[in-house]
Amino acid sequence: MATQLDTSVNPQALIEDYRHGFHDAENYVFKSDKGLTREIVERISAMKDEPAWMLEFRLKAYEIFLSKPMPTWGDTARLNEIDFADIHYFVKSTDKTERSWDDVPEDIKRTFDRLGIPEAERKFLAGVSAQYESEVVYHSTSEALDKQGVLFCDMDTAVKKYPDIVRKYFATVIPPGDNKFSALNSAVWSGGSFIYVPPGVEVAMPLQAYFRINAENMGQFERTLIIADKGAKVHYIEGCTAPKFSTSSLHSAVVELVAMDDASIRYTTIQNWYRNIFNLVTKRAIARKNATVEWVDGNIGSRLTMKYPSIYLMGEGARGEILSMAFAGEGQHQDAGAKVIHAAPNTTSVVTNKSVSAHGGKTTYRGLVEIFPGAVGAKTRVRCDALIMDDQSSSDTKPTMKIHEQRSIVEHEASVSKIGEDQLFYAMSRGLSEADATAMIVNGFFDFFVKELPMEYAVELNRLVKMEMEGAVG
Amino acid sequence: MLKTPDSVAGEELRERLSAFDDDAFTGERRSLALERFFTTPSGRQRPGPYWKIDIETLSPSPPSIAKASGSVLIDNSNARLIACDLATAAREHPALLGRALGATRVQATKFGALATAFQNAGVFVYVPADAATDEPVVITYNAPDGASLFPYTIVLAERGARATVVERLEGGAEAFVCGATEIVTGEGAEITYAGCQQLAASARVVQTRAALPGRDASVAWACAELGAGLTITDLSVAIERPGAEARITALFFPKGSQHVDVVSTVDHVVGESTSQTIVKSAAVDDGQARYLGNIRIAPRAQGSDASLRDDALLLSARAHIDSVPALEIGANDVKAFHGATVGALDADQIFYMETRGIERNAAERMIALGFFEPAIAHFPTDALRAVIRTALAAKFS
Repeated sequence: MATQLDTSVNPQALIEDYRHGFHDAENYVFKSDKGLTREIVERISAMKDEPAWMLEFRLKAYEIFLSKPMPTWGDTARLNEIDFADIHYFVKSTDKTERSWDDVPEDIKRTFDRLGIPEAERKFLAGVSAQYESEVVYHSTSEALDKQGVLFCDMDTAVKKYPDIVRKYFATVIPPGDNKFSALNSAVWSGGSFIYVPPGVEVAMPLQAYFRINAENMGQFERTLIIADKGAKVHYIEGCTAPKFSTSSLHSAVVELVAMDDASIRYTTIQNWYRNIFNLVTKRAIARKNATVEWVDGNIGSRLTMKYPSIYLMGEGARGEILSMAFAGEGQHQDAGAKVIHAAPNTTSVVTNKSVSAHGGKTTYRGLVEIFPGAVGAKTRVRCDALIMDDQSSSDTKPTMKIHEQRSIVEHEASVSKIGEDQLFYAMSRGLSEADATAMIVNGFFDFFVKELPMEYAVELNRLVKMEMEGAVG
Repeated sequence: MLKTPDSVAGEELRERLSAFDDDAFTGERRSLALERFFTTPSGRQRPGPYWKIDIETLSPSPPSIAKASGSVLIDNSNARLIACDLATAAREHPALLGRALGATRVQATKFGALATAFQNAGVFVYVPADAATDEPVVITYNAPDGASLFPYTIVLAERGARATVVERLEGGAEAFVCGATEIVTGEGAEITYAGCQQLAASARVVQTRAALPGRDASVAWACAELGAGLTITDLSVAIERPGAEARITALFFPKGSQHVDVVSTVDHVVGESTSQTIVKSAAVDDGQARYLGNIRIAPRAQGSDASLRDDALLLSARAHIDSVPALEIGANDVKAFHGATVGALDADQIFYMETRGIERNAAERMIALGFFEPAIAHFPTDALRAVIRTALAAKFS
């Protein structure tokens, strides 16, 4: 029963060595005018020297964007704060993709320093693709990946280098017309990652990319497409932090995953956008026969996040798992969730979501589980837990279950509560301050999620939670 | 068919209303309510790939509406209680009636407003302070074939009163029934209201039921939706006084082409309150059901404890059940939980019973009926529980 607490670690020191409220001077090669017009879409495509089919795709998406209404559900008050005319739709920071770390501009390196990527890791982590602003500026793929035939590059490069594969899968999982923000992304997308893993190839190490927004009022519209061919296996990690700005910015990504028969994709992301950013992301995966797709999704930053990672289980025996956590502090609304569509027999899914709201923040779990007729033997389990730290904060849980197949099993459980007073009392009786005890308990609450992360992310997330919890009690 | 007050059907409904006027429901109350029916959205889910009926446009056919259609029987053996029809209540107990009529959210809802506009049957039950009885008041509404019935039931319970009301709803081939029920209680009262709906399979029924318990009072809704082709039910309790307790039990079992749409809502406006919602449903043949279970805990409603349990059984390939248990929590010192399951009968259980010599069909029936028992236990009186069990068993024939 007695647990030894490590008193040698000073939580305050951990908090103080983390800084994310900084802002490097802007240094751009090209920055589009504010607002979106057909001409800007054409210029983006021309700047990138794209093939005609992509320009056509962008222009079609632009028309769809204009014709689609804003969502009428969710946090519509906040959504309507977005002024589409007051956003830069394209920014290019350097005019060519960097080949080695030495060539990366100093200010950009400083930004990565602040993110706390250890020196050794930068050199040794193979397959690091760092996105600065709207375009990938640094990219190195290890020889091991090349030998395996794994394609890993920024999306812009992929359009030129691998047109056949890109055209075969691009926008097949999330068409431009899916929603207003996927249409916007399709029209102005820039950057993002492209990964193709050939049949039977297992990528042993996680592939990573960092994203940042660094210009005021600048939108980021990255576009990621990951294909794991038959029997292939890949883990992709994407993390975001953003420097401090005074006015609202929009981030609207589209992420498409295709897991062919027997393939496996894990996509890990932690977003920590600064609290003026609207993070409206469409993420969807298709899992074919016996394939596995896992979303590991953390939401800490942004003013409003609306993100519902989805898995379409299209082939027999496909498996999906969505693990997500959300933290909403002052002025934040984390409207996140998960969607799983069981469209084939013997498909299984597990959704686990935990959220904490504090200092007047709000969390919403919005989920969908749908079982199609004929999806015999489908099984799904959804578990959501929310902690509300103070009487200014709130939490909503809105799961939807649509069951059209008799021979299936659906379970959903959700709870909302405050932090356990007996836990708090126990930790404080061992000598911790109330704030430290609270941070420890909240970190414990998120442990199911943190333990799925690579070590450096886990450390960073624990620090962030500690920072966020400062002053949450009392 | 009817979306705006300017439509022809809307005008016909207004014309129908001119024949309605009495002491309980003045013409003005009725016509204002009808306008609210036209302008208030139902708040129900839109039609989807399986559920095709648009509840927004649901309305009775004007010719079926008459002040005299429908009948009500009141069975009350408690001398201390008042249980009379609404017209009598308006004449003899206007002050009491006035304290409860329109006190809940019922008349602000779309179909509660429609029930108010055309109210043509109704019962007022008054339970004086500290009056307690185990014998229920039984109200039986009967809808004539092809008619529209608008039953309005009001229960007012004083401090420390304890009573049970059972409402039976019967009859009605091709009938349209749009009912409203309001419960208002004083401090420490305990009221159980059980509804058992067994209309003909071609009938349509919309019920809006709302309760407003007093401090430390307890209100229980128990509703069995067994008949009718289309059943739309809205059950709610608004906890606005501390210490109050709400219990909601709903069971339904759409068979053939029956459609059931149930919404339950517990609003914890103040804290130190508890609520428990239990829903058990099954669907067979082409049966369709939708359930939305809301638990709302307002900011500052500290000390609220709310739970919701929703289990659904799918008994045929074409049956569909959608389930949305929703939590909206604005206070932190609370407990809120919901759990939901949807699935087929447990194959292991059936296999076990088959090994004990029970034929498969019988085994399935026994397990399915057993599944409903935790909900049936919340209904009052042996007689009513027997009625429900018989009706559920008949679904298997």
